Amino acid sequence: MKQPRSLVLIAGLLLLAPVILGSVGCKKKPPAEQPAAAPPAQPVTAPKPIVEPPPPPPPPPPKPVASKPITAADLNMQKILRTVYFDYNKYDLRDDTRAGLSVNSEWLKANSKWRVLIEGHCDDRGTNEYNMALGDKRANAVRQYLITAGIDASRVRTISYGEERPVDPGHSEDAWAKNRRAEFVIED
Amino acid sequence: MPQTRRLSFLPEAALYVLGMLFLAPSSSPLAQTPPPPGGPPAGGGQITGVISAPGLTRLALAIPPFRLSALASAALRDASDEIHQTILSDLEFSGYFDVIPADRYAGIPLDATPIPFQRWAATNAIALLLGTVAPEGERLALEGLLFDTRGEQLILGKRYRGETSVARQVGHRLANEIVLHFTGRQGIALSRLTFEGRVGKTKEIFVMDYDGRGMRQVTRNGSLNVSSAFSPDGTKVAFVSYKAGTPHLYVLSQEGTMADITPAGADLSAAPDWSPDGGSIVFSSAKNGDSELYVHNLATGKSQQITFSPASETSPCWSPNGRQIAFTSDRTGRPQIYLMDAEGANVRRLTFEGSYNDEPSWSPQGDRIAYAGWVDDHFDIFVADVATGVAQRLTDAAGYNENPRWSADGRHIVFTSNRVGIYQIYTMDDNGNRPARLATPFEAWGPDWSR
Repeated sequence: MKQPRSLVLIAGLLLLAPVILGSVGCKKKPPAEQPAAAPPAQPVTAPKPIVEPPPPPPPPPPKPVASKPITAADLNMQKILRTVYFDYNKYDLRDDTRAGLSVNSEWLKANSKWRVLIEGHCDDRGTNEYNMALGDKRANAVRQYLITAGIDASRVRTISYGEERPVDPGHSEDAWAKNRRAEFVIED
Repeated sequence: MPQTRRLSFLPEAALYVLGMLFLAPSSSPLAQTPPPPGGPPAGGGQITGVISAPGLTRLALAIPPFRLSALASAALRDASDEIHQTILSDLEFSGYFDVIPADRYAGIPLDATPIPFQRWAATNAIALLLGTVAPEGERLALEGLLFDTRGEQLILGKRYRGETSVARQVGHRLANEIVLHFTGRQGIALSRLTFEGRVGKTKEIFVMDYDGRGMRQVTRNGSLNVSSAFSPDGTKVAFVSYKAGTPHLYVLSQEGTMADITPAGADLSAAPDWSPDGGSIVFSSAKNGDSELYVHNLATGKSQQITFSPASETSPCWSPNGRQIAFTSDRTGRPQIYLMDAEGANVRRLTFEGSYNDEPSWSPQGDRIAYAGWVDDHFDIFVADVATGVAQRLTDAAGYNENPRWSADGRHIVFTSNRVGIYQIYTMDDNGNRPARLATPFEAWGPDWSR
């Protein structure tokens, strides 16, 4: 079963983990439309090992009482920005990749206080060092898209993890497809 | 057929020429003090029989268990066994020798005087190593005497002292002396491997002896650490770490100091390799997604870009004479291996077969380049002749075989393979024979072999 996108989850309310933070309303606009071509399934594991995946958000409490400022970590836990995917050994942007980037760039335009780190990742059907370079190319292709879309270049930095941080350690086409990706990490 | 090989003979007086090597038990276990003043020079250097070409018959050696003084403690006995075993495995690994099985000399007394050379020669062993281990206070002393069984002469004599904890190093040293004597080449028994190992969800850098013993973790930063490479003198390891947030270049010294040597603006760096003189590091660094090669001078702190191409240039490897650099570029659309002058001029393509060739490693003799090539849906290790480009495939196993690096004598290659389902470090002869796994209790990648 497909889990609804986190974007859908936050369409009305951006929920923070209430245990830690209480809750706060958020008036972020939902994306106008879903991408035409569905990208591969969203990875279910968190991109960073030190950040555990969030539990499913509970139903919203009736009234937000105290509001704490939203942190970048909060937004990342909510998977505000989409992961986008690439073809084997390529870094050009597929249609579904562009669709995801369009959504992400709209959010970045509407939330100009945040910066973003783009992580380029690869599947393991390549050598480690070449995949580092390929990850750099993927991350940079995404960055160029965002700049062209009007995001200030100073808000977007890149990093490559090559094949070092797979979301799926498997060796199937399905696993490789999930690992050939660019992830967005929102930064303060 | 046994080789009739002329061995070198020392003059009569050389019976007493024992190379004195001391293993100091201090924090620096391999510190070596010079021979006593006025003492004789170390043995070796009188080589007449040089064996180096592949395919030669291996020399048969008899290496019976070492004699122990009656007063030897249990610890000393264990150390003696360990030295003995170390020498056996070093000499077998070298590929130059066959150590004959003990049952072939079962009836020969080890303490007979004079040595019954005819009986030893009848075992087909061309040389006999007689070792004696004795206590010296808390330390051990090993005397190793190598005899020509047919010439009935001492051909090499060595004495070592050290604590029992350095027994393996004592064995490695004597094995190296035997290799040097017969081949005229330095042995690799004291060489080490550096590699990256899985620790939790990340990778840390490890170092171990070439035979897989003595493994220790040398980084503990909890970040991603990859691409470790020994300095030519073996005292430092360069590697890439993400501990500062982005991939930087670091140099870790033997003393444990760690220096961030990343040049300004090279925050996305990878794949360091040392120049043969140890003075510079070539590496790749990405700017605006474009990975190019740079040479960083460690003394001046200045770096210079040496490739200029919109394609990705990665995995640089210095030639042993320092004049050239091999690297990977996808300037034709797919990664292939290229050579150029160390300053970046005179680029020529080395590999043409296959759709994906990467990770060049220049042999210490300079004549060959090992690399990983994609074939039949996996990576295999290949070795290409530098002059002709003609390549030979060395692995043909299930799984991926990657990251080839040479031993200092050019006779072995260390690499990574997941043929058992997880990535592990392997060694093999330079013709692909005798693949051997150096098992680690976790996944391991990216080995480099010290000179």
